[in-house]
Amino acid sequence: MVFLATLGCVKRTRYPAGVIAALCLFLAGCEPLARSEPDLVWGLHGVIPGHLHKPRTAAFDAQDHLFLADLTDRIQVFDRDGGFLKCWRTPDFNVDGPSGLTIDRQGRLLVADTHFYRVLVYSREGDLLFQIGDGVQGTTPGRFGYPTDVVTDREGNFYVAEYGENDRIQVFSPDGKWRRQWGGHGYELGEFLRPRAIAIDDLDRLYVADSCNHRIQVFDLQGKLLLSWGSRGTESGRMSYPYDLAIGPDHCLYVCEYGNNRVQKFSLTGDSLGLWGTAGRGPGQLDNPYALAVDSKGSVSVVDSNNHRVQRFRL
Amino acid sequence: MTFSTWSIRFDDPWWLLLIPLVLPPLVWASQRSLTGLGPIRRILAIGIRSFVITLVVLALAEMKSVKRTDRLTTMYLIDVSNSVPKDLQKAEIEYAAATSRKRRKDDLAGVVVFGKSPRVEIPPSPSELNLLAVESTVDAENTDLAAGLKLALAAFPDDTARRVVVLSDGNENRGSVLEQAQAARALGVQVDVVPIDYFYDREVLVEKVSIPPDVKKGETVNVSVVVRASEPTRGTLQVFQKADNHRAPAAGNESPVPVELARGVNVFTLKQLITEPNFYTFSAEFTPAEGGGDKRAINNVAQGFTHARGKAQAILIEGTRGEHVELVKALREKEIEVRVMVAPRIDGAGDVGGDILPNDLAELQPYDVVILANTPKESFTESQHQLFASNCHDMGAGLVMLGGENSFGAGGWMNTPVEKALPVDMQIKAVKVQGIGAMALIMHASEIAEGNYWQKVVAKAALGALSSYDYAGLLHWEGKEAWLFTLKPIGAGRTGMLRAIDRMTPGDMPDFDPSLLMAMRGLNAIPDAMSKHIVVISDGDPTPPSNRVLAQLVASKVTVTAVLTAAHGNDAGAAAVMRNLAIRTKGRFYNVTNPRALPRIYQKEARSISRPLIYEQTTPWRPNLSEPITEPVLGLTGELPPITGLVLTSPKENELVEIPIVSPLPGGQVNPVLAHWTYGLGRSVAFTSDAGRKWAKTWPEWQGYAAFWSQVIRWAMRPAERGELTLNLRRENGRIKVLVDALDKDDRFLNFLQIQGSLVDPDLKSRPIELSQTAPGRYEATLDQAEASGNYFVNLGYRGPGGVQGVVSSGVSVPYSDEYRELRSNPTALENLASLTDGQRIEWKQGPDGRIDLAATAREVDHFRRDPGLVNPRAFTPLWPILLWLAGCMFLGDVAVRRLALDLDWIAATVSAEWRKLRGEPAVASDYMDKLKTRKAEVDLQIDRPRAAPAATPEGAPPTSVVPQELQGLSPAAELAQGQAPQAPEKPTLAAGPPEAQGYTNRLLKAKKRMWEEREKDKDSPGP
Repeated sequence: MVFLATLGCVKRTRYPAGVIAALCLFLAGCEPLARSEPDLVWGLHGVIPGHLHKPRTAAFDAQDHLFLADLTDRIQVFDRDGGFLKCWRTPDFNVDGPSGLTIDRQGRLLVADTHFYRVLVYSREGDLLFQIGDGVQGTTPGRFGYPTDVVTDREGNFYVAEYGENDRIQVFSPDGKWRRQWGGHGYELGEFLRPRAIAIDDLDRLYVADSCNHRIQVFDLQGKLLLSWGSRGTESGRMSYPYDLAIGPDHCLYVCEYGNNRVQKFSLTGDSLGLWGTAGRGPGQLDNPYALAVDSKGSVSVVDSNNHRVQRFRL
Repeated sequence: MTFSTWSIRFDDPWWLLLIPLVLPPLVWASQRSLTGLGPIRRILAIGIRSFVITLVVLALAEMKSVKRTDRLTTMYLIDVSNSVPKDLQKAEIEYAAATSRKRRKDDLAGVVVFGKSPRVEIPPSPSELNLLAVESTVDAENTDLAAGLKLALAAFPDDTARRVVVLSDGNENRGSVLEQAQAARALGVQVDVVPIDYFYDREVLVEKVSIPPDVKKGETVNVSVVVRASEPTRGTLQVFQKADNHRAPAAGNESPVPVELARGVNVFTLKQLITEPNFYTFSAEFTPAEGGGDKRAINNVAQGFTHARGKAQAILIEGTRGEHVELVKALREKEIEVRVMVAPRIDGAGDVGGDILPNDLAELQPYDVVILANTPKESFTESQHQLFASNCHDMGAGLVMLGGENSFGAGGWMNTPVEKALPVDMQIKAVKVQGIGAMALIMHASEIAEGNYWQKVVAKAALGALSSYDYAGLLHWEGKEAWLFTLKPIGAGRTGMLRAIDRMTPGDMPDFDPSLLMAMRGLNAIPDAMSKHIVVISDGDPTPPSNRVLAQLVASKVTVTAVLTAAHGNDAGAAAVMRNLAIRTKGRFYNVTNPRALPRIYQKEARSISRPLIYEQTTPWRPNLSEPITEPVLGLTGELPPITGLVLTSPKENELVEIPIVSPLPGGQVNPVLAHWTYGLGRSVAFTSDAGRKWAKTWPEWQGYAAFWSQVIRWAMRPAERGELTLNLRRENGRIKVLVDALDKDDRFLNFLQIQGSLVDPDLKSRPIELSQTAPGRYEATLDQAEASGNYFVNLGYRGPGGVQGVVSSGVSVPYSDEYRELRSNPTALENLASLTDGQRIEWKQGPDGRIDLAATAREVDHFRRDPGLVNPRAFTPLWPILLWLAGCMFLGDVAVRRLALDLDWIAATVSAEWRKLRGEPAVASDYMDKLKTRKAEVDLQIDRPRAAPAATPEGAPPTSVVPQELQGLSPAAELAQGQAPQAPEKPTLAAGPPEAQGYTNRLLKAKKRMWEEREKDKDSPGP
């Protein structure tokens, strides 16, 4: 009926086609950004094996097994659909969990053991191989404030992001020797406020989620700034506390926004390609998501931390 | 869900009669009124109209959709109280997990665990129970099966059938499950029971230690230990004596004594000489011999206490050691025993320094009056606040608060039980406030254990300690930094703020800067704030504050107190960040290792900004005695010495409050210096200046000093007991029986006494008691709900004929919960529960070794069965909102059908033109446009003709018949092509009359005028 009224108007006054399209969209109740139905929601709140208590970080391996760490310092392994496989604890535990997990090119599990100031390297089977950092908090080269995430480049060098008194990226050789560092606590380009996550692409470019500056910074392996985008806001292209990022098989960058309770998809050059999620507790809604991981099929599993669950979707 | 499970019902079906009554006339009337529309549009309009009316009538008839479901929810109710042995608790959990696998696809299963109180362990969810252990924290010291069942009933979803499976030993010592069973039955809930069976065949219980409640110095008392054994056994028994927090084996019992126990009750007696007046606790411990078979150790200990009374004694608790030396000396001169204790300071680790203060009523028993001398509220725990008030109200002891910078409102005592007990209120009503304080709380403590709970506790503690003039605001993280409530005067908003705090669920804050800036801007916007203060609670791991923000805070004179909650162990980095924040902004830094210290830290912080309650002057002034002269100030002569300050308070509006000393300053209100009243069974006193160190410096030299203070303290003291009554307390089956034998000095019965008082339970809750006479000289009362373990005190006042009156008190100790008294399970209670609700009783299958065979038991049981007793619920969804919404939309449709005509030719032409355009074909030259323009020109002419006609043509000629010469033979389209408006050249020639004559209104006016003229003519002309 309203559609007829619209036609009536058109007959008399000749509205441009754009207005008609906008009206139709409005009448159909379509918001171009609001596709939020997850393909799968899973996870029960609890501390027993298979349950989640504020999960904080996640990573998929080549078999699409999801490694999750939560506030109870457990690393749990699930299949792609949330079926529980196994679980172990990090060597020491407190009331906070690791905040970064990565499966490196060799299939090893790298754990940023944030509150014990070190990086743990586990075998595919879950055996602890070695650690980087002596576990003493510090700002000197080779020590960490709060290490947040770790990745390796093609040569096997480790890149560790940290925050605290010194917000920086430190580089270690494949055998754990300190190589170099860059960054610093601040607002300027090349500086960081809580670099919460890092990702590395096929061309060995390093993407840093500079959380409290609400931006993504891209560096080469020597620490030269190549690109930076983002500022605080809710509009498309802006961010609020980007806490995690991951590069999908479609060569796009997926950013988990802790503050905006959503996931934003970017091209590798910083163009916003889509948004998913709103604040809340229902399916498709997120409550302070900390992390995400992209599987081999290109689906995103976002760690909906305060809802103690994982939601999977495609964007 | 099949369609057969759906149906429709009407709550008020009489409204449906409107449909046959209203619709036919409506259709008939509409057919007449809508004749102008074409036949299709008319039918459409009538159809829509009838539909709208039908929808409204259906809404009025309260149409509802009814969904009948065959889904079932089974809630497992698991008893985890201490009476159920641990191995059987594990069996309960495994049983629930195993039997939940029999659920059908849509069925839900959930778990409620219970002890003293219930918790939902797993809410009803459509999955099998993956239950390995119980995660909920449950107080296992009691069993309240009824509360568990109540919670299970409440946890059910509405739209499924319901069943409860109870796994319990059936020994309940709180509540009544049969009452809840009735409720379950009424709701159509079946209860299956799985009784847990056990029998402690060789258990030993130390039932009680019995001592006379009141003894005299130098008396020898019998300490009797009652031990119950279910089988003859052997072991050792030892009695310990505790006084003044010092515990040692009782005299004559230095080493454990071997004892032989017969089946049933055994009594052992030990004689003890009481040498000093004090409060004594005796405890007896039984240790079974090896192989004795006693399984539970907790019920092998019991205790009892007694009080040896000496001369009148007071306890004075001061904030700084030695601050009240003069007062103590004066009181001792006047024969009052004073015990001086120092209250601890509060720090992140909890209490620092100070003495161990009394923590329960038993420890306060030796003292007849408690003096709180210039000590702040946060030096005591909340239970101690309650203890002081209760000790006065229920136990009849005195309570005196002495002033000073840390006392009354300045000590943060507002809104406490102590304030309630005192004759003055700490909030002042009508005095000029000397500058207000503003405090912003920033909350980030979600990662400490029970972080959200503690954040609420500290926020409430801070609000409670601020005066109503102060500003308070609370910032938290909810995806971004946000005010939970903005900075505003607490005043009347306190309740709203507390409610908001209850709803608060702050998240994990990433960085400090935005919150600090937001708080600073809020504080700077308060124009008259004397102190601007931020209190941040955090685990220290957000991104540290930048130098720029710290500098802004310093420049704005905002102080920041940083409270570090050690969430991440010994985190030096976090401590450094928080310390730096506090030091740079001149605030305080607390490293909290004991969360229980948190509320008191917040009270201290709140108190530090809220200082308008002290009135000081350099020139001394004299307080005045005021009428009536009451007992504490009786006999004071001459003028009182001057003072230089006091804490402002306002007297309670109660007839019992007396204010014998007032201060003339500050003017405009009553400033009590000394106020007193009777509070419950006790008396309390407020002295708002100090005892002689800062504000009343000249008082210690005053000759009346000792007399004055001894009179005040003696007035407040608990009156001495008269010893005419013997009070005995017995505890049986969760009840306390109070027995009083009343004999006078000549051993004659005292009859017709009125005896009443109160019982104080271990939670310091007081309950009134009134005794009734049951025999000559014998009075009795029974109190229910005395299940909790701990000390119970009874304090009674009595009055009788011939002026007999006095007080008497006693106590009884419950050493352990009743959970440990039960020696065997009670399946009968559970069987009753099942039979009342049509449920099943499940028996455990046992393996060949006599142990429980879980698999065999679970195999034969189906807690998701569909039996005839199961009530399948129907879910009702009211449809009236949808119906009304639809009616609204259809109504618009009705209007649209009548008002809008769809031009199908135009649509067809437009579509074909667009189609041609899309295909790249040349548009058909304005064939349609030409038609349109022609039509437009015609319409314009039609409009213009009547405008021009009345002026240009003779009266009465039809206006539409005139076509101007100039237009004849000229197509309007051609005219448009020349760029001329078709009517433009016509106007001057046609508008022969004056311009106003062309208007429609003018024509109407003319017609009207003509009509009047004709009527006038008719009147003038003679009739036919």
